[in-house]
Amino acid sequence: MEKGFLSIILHAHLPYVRHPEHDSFFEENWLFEAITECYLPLIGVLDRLLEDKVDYRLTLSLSPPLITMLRDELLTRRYLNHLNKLVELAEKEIIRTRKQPEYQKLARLYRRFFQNTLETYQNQYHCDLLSAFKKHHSAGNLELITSAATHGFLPLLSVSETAVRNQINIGVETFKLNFGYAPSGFWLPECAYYPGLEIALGEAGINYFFVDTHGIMNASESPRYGVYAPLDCGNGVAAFGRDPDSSKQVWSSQEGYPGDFDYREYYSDIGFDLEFDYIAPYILDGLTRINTGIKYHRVTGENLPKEIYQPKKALAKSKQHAQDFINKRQQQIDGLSANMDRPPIIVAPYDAELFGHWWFEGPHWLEHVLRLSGNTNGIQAISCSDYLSLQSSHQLATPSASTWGDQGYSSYWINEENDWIYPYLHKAEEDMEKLASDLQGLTVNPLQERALNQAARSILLAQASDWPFIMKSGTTSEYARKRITDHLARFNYLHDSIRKNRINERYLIALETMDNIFPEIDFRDFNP
Amino acid sequence: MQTIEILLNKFLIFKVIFLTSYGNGLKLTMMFSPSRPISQAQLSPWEILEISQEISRDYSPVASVNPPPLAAGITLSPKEMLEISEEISRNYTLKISIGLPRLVLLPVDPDHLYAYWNPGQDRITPASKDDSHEIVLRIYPQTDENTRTTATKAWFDVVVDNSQTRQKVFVPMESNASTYNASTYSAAIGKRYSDDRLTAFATSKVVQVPRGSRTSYQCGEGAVLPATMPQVLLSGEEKSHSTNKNASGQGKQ
Repeated sequence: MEKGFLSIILHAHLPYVRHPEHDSFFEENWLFEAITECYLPLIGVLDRLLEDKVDYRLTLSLSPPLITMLRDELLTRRYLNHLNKLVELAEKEIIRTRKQPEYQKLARLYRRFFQNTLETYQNQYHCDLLSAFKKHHSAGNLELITSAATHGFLPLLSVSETAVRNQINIGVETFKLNFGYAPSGFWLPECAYYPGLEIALGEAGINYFFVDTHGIMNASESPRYGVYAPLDCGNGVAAFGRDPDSSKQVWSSQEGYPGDFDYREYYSDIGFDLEFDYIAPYILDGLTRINTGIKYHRVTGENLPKEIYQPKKALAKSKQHAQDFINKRQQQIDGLSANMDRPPIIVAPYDAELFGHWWFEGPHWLEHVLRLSGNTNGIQAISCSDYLSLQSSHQLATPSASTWGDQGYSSYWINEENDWIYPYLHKAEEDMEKLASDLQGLTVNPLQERALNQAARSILLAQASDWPFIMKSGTTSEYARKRITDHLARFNYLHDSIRKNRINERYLIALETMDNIFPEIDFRDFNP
Repeated sequence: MQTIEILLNKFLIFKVIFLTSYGNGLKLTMMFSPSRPISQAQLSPWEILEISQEISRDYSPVASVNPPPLAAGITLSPKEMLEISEEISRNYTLKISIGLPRLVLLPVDPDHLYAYWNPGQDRITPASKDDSHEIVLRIYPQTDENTRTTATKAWFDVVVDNSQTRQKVFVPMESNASTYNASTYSAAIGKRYSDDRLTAFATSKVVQVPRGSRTSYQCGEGAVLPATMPQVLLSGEEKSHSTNKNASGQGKQ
């Protein structure tokens, strides 16, 4: 019997960013960068583990907006275009660096990397990454779960139970539509939990979810095993708590692995470093400098001139860090298992986009961690579903309200930068519910039905936790403000059109084309 | 009887329903027809199986997220879509209608609540000289009747500016735990007179602030293991959040 378990969860999410009304749109690069640097490298890791018959378990949460964008034809076309431009830029870099062999070696590496990405994406996976993830799920190694419909911050939407229920149910339905089965676990956006949320999760068929450490530690009953065993919320839905040690080792800006001096420096990018005329064709509209993904330097150290990146050294370091991570988990488990009547579980959730994008070597680190956890005595990677099936009963207690954001509660999502959004969000939800309620038992014509469903999409898109987060962080906050006001304006327009029975199909088509998420949505679900 | 039912149904199909919106008092019109009853067709197990297989074959698991076919004759260029989007954003700028008075209370953390309100038709007017009152947000800790002493006032007030419609409220520690033994609150907003009497414009629902302490969370004092677990395991205690997390790729630039 294993002494204890390690459950690694990656939460993959990006806000729904898709702008067919523009020929190109900068924020769509968020997806393109994540596919190139995170999702495809992650699939590469899973493919190698499968090929080597490594017995591992990993959990991946795919948010509904990301699921939708990964299957979108327009974004796929634009991504291919983006990749081809990167190959072209890497080729130019090989020529430009011909008298700097160390740099040229890296330029060649980037060309190979982008070409392989293009080949894998287009020819191996036929531009469908969800099928790749599904393959690994079918192989029994990857547990796929999902999140709320548009990653709504549920505690601040809970003024309306219907809003919360729809965020959960539409999230689950989107997952089922794309993967053909129901998810067992649910990633609460921003790990944001409040007592009572487990009821809606249970009704949606969810068996478990995650909270931050203090959510468990401040539970209604003192947790017997700390965060190393789940709590049963009273309705059979289990809450797993984040282990702070494994979190710190990866997240901490001071002590975390990604800050190692040998790793690639994220902030040194030729988009900002090279002459403007040279780089102009590869930056935003030829005018605004942006990251290209080609970076030649390593972290090096504070206040030191950046030194050239050495991939072999960095990869060796990631292997070393993986071993260190596993050693520390073993130490934890040795100590814990002696005092528990059941094997402890160490829950280590991370944002998937950390691995590869912010921490370039992250996917290699993950691969080694999973290899080591597959053949190390006393520690075994596991999914939370598996753990629940091994243990027949769990301590009954309700976690306390908590998030994994700054300060541990809701203040990052409601503060002087973003608090103005909530009266509008709540009012729009209320209007939508009133509309659905007024129409109960009545048949609507196809045009009305489309307008009502589109109004529901607008509400959900406005509710994304991303917008208040970005407003607070201050990065691209203008875009976040525009997105939330646009979606609410679109809702108000549709609401008005429906109430007055003056639906303009041309306008409706424009909105359906721009906000084409949730094809199966039914406005009737907004009836409280 | 049956004839009357048919006539009624026909009438309902073309019925025009007038609905009055809450917000602006305008009379708005929607046209809808009632649902038809679902026919109870009998299917054999074989037919059900065939339908099930056909649905599974044709509709699972890949979903198309692309838009439904456009109505005949309507195609939109990116420029046209952009124009429509801009027009809607221009003409439907956000505004909260006066509507009914409303007060919404939201929990922020163990020490704070957040309140926003809409005074409704009874706009909050500045106090006149002979009408001495001030506008306050009155917070009611939901006390445990067994622990509250009779001397304890069962609320505290936050004076708000007339022009304000939202306020972050600090929940004093003495109200949070020891005095009121409460973590749930409700609120009312209105005019407070010199004798502490409140004329409320709106009241909120009850909300619960998180258990625990924001201060201890920041300092990393929250134990990861219960006190009964060996101290050696507590060596790695650390606040469980990271302030520099990227929150899923947001704010990359």
